[in-house]
Amino acid sequence: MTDVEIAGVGLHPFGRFPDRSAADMVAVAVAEALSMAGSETTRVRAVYCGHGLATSGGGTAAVLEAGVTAPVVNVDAACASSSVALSLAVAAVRADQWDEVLVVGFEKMGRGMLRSARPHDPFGDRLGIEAQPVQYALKASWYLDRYDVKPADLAAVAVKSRAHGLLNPNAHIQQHVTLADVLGSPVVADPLTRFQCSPTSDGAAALVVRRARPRAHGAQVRVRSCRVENQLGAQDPDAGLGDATTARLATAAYAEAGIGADDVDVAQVHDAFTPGEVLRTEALGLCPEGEGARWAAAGRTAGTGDMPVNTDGGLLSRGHPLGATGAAQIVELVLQLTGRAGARQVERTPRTAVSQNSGGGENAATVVTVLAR
Amino acid sequence: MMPAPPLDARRMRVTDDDRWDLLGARCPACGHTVHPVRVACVRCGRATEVVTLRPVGTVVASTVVHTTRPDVALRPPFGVALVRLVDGPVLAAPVREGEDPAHGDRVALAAFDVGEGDERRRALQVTVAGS
Repeated sequence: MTDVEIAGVGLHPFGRFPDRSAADMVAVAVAEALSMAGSETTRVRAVYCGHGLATSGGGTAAVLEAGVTAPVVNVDAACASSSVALSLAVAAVRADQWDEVLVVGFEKMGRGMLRSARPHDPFGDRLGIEAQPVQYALKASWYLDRYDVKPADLAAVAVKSRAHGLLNPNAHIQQHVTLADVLGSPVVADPLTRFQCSPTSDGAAALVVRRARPRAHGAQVRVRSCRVENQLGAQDPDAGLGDATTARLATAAYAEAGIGADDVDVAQVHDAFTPGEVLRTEALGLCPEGEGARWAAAGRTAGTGDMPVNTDGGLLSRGHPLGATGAAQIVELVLQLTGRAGARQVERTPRTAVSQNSGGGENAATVVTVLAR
Repeated sequence: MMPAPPLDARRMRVTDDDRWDLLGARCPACGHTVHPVRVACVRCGRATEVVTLRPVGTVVASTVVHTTRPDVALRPPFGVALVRLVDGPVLAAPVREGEDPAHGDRVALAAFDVGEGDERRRALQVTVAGS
């Protein structure tokens, strides 16, 4: 099977950019990724473009304006769109369908609470139960109770996230906060306060994915595994509220990559809300079950800790433009693996990294990716 | 007065003003039971059959919602509980006003109406009474 590398990564800053179109942002991310790879638009054979809210075929138009004329596959898997796009790109290059392709993710978002696209569930929609803060608050309430964890330990995830965001000029939220600030911000759904919820953001990210070159320009980060599963969430009555989908994917991805959880040096996980980071860090086997929040409070998951997680601020502070999020996670890991992460570079340049990206509930998918240099 | 039609016919069947059934789907092949109703089994893909579930269970998680979208039928603050039904499936529903069930509490589901006039619909809420 052909080895696949990520040769270049690019990102348009995340935040609110009312005067910029999706195409404007995609063009910035694509140019940066191609430049790092030492490549150019004419070498791109196909584009896999993730977006969750754009109109039909929205990726095709945005990519064309960025100067890429290769065919575009539009991928909508809600918050996991560009991770699912990456899985398709990796599969195509592995199978020798294409030599070099682009993965792009973007989103333009409005303000206010997101409405999950669930026309088949008027109950959850009309009663506000499908709203993501409510779903995550239920997970948080279960977690705090089950593992005897203090709400302040969960809130520590947001304090750490904001500190990481301050080291990342591309992060949406640039703000120093204390534990008291996080706990004192308005309650959205108990125990989650406003600062424990990710913002809605605009942004774009791009990855050059290609057949690995033995000696070439670019990042030369290998994709060791990229696996997708649909989510059934609470539909499985035997499961607790932990992330069983991620745990299953991690087991398979580590086996495919020939590593164990102990080999992971740095991780990006789907922290749309604080319990998301905790449950998924545990599901990836990066810390013991029930210890994720306490590890955050103890500084162990900080960039300076022994298991750095979401070093760019994660969804909570880097921001969460749905379709761009999965690719942005990979951007950060490639920067970390190649010593390009600047002020937030973790010590002893990491060798192995894992990303975890979740789409909303049963509408979408979970993706776990293992990268190595 | 005619009973309000169900907000979601995959979750409940309304028979008259104070009678209703909680619905689920059971797979005749593997026995897996889910709520709300699905046409195909999520475990083995076979066609399911609609069954009536007992509207009682245990609270596994809960929250009080303080912020929601303006189009939601309930005004905050309101409680939401995740209930594991005695028949297996798990469902989230609003908690009856003034009640605050704790994790592990035995609870029941009750019918209540949301909306006005022609828009009135019958939904489900969690209650500690009658459980």
